[in-house]
Amino acid sequence: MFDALLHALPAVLSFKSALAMVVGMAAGLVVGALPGLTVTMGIAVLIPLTFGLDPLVALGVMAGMYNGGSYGGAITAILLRIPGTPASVATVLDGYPMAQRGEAGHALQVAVVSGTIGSVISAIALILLAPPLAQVSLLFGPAEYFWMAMFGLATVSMLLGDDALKGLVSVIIGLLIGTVGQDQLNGSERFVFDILDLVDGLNVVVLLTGLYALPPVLLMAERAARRGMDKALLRFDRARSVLREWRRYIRIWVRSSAIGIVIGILPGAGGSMTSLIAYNDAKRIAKDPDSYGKGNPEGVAASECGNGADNAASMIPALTLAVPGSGVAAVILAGLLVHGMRPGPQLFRDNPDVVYGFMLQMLVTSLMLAVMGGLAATRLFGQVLRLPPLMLTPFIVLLTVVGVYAVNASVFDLWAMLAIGLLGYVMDRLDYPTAPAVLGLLLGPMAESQVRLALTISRGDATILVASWVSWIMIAATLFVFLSPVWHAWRARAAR
Amino acid sequence: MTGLNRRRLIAAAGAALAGSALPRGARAQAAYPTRPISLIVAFAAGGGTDVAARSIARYMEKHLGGGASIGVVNRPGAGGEIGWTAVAQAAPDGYTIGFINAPAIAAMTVEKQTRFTMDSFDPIGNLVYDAGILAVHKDSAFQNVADMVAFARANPGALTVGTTGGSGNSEHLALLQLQRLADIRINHAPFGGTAPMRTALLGRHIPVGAFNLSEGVEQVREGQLRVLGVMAEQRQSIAPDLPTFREQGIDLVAGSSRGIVGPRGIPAPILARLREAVRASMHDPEYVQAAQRASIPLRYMDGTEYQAFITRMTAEMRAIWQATPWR
Amino acid sequence: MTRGSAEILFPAALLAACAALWPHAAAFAPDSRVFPAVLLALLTAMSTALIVRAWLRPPADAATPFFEHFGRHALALAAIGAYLAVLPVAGFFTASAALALALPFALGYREPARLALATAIFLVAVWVVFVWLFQRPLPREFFLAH
Repeated sequence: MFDALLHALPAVLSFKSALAMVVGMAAGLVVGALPGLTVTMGIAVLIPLTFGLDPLVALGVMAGMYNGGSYGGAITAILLRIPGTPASVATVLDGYPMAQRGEAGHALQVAVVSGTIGSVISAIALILLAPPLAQVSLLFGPAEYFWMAMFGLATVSMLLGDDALKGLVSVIIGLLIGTVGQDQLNGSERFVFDILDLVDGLNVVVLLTGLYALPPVLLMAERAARRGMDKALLRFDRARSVLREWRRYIRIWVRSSAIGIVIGILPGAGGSMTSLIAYNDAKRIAKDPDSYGKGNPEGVAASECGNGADNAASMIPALTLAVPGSGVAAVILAGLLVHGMRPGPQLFRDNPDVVYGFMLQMLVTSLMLAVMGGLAATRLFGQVLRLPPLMLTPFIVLLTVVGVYAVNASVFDLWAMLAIGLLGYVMDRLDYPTAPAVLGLLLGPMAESQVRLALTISRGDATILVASWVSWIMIAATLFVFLSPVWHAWRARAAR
Repeated sequence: MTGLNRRRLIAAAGAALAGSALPRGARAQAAYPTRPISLIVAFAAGGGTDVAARSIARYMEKHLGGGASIGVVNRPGAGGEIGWTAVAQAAPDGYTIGFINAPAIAAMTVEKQTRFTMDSFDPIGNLVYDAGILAVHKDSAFQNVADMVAFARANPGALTVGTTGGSGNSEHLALLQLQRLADIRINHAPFGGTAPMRTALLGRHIPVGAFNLSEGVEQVREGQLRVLGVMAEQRQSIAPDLPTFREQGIDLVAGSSRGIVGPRGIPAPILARLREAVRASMHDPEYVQAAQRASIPLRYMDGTEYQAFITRMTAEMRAIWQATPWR
Repeated sequence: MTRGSAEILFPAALLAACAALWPHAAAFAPDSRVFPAVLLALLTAMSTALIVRAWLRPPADAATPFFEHFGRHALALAAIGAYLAVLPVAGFFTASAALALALPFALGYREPARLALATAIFLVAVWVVFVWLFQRPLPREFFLAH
């Protein structure tokens, strides 16, 4: 394997490949930062244009785009509270309060460094462990995915906030929105009301922009502040460099990377829940969990590190088993096929130069992120905050409208976003946490369809849910996560 | 035009990277097209249909000549219904065409009240036909279709078969046909996607999976999966060693196709230009080679043949629906 | 409206939504019904509990107003609503330019030159990325329709 790596190295570092990675990363930062544009879409637009090119040039663009795009989401999440994808929701939770406090520069720095570390570790895992790790994804059938979803839902216990009842109402609202649309198992329609735009359910981008981006717009309008943020606040503070404070973050980076890699290799689980789970894990082990959600940089670090670690890992089952772990991995597979590479074990045998070259490109682009992401985020996008909030108000509205319209070209979705925006505004004002609703929307459909699928396969025999050791591990993890806040509260009371 | 500018820019960047410019159509023809043509894809950017559309669009531009520009417009939603409705209702002036997937679209017109029928379209040409397969894990006890049918007869309803879509997907419809032809009962498990279903099959969470040949051909070549039968009239060129159902005594023919249509009523000369552009693209060696490398089962059908195919599919779907409504 | 009354009104609205959705859920196919029905039952119970709690034990800040400034809130909301209504007719860039110029002005921003410049830059950037580079469809301008 090391022979193959060394053999692939010159091609990866050639001028053409390097240029491709830079172009890909720049495009990735843009599509990632803007709501409605996704890396999946960006790559799909690019594939036909790479027909005549060298495979490593095409793959370099894709690797750059993948790593750039996953960080790009953090920029608008932190600065404008627009999470373009579910992966950025956990970044919003602490990143936006930090930016409001005048620590936008620091928040972006934490995000870029943590994202870089996560994606580097993930790329190394991809290079060293791809074939053995791929076997893990085969252990997961519908029953195991059901418990995976339950585990994700259980982490909600860390997101509930001070008022558990309000947090639970928020989860249920998310779960209910998740039931809208056609039922996968029998094709019947639920809460569709004969509206064609609802047959596939409500797109998650509609919920995210409505819930997160619109409420601050209304609040900004109410406050009508005429002065923007001071330029000095956007500068990097050398004394507070993240790397100097590495002792504070190292535990979070290691744990979040591990979480990102494990979830990344499960096809279908999707990268969207990785950052929330990494965030919850960091909050669970924190000394001061109450400061999470109020602008603690550790929250940003956990979310972005988990998010970055998801990237290369989701390529593991894609390259070794031809089973893509995410939407992006799926289009990259399509790109490989167009260039005549056949994913699967034979890929490593027949085209070692290309496959190891691509893995190295994932690693190189991870490292490039530190430079390009840092520059783009603060020098360019960060300046947006210097606009007076009054002027910013309509711009955020326009951006969410373009973003939502770009997904389905549906005017209905825009009105749905406005309605959800009002819901989000009321929830914000009354201290209902909104992150549990997102988790509910993401994981509710997975939990329901997988448990019903498992019971279909077993023809109604419920023991299929506890038939494998993987299920038992997931059950134990679920209980552990769900009960740990209770346990902490009990211990705190006992200590008093 | 905007699309052209962008293309020129990216083509220039591509040329700089590759060291060679892309060949452009040299023939300049008058009258049509004078503005960009929209190619509607009823699924999100990045899906299989989308990638196919973006690939063929470049070759159709080349063969339409005269600097024609085709922009892919994604109109996803409602399992394709939104995009297909948009194609059916567009002005038949040759500036809006779209991709359809049969039999999925035909099944939709049968199972629910859609705002279009299969007569709302002028077929331009079919590109892809991917035959259905039933496959098992390499360690499965089923060696062929007869083994599986024997098991299903002995244990009615106990044979679980996974499919890649939701309820009413094209594989589900094929299974309904199989039930009728082989007089068995199948326990259908819709996975909602190809990746989760294939993982479940490789991980032995389900005994049998139904999907398309091109989606499983690699795992079969590597010996991870075994194909019990291909649902086609004859053996397929991308995998000539795999037996068909027909060879094994069950006349099951099913699969899914992708082709280009326009709204009904496109003026004859323009329709002819579009059909010719598809025909020329489908015989363009560069395109054919790229498709072959990607294991895409191309099957060109001209307008007339494609129309007959659509009509036959629709009648078949109606017959299945009458025998066993799937929702 | 005060915060205290909002704490009762919001769960009451959720209760009303549950009541409206219940007949729909009851009509779903048997397998499809279970999950939404459980969710609606839970939401009904929790909303009731929230109402009772807010009634018996009003929050400490019950008397503070719910909106920071109701007038400007209503203005912004009406502007966004009007924008969404006009958008499909007038086209994206026309409607957006109108909103970006009119809303800050209505809220009291009085530097038209800076506002116009920022709006122009923003709209050009949107055009470059969404229309030119990635060919995303946006509602067509009314003067370009054919």
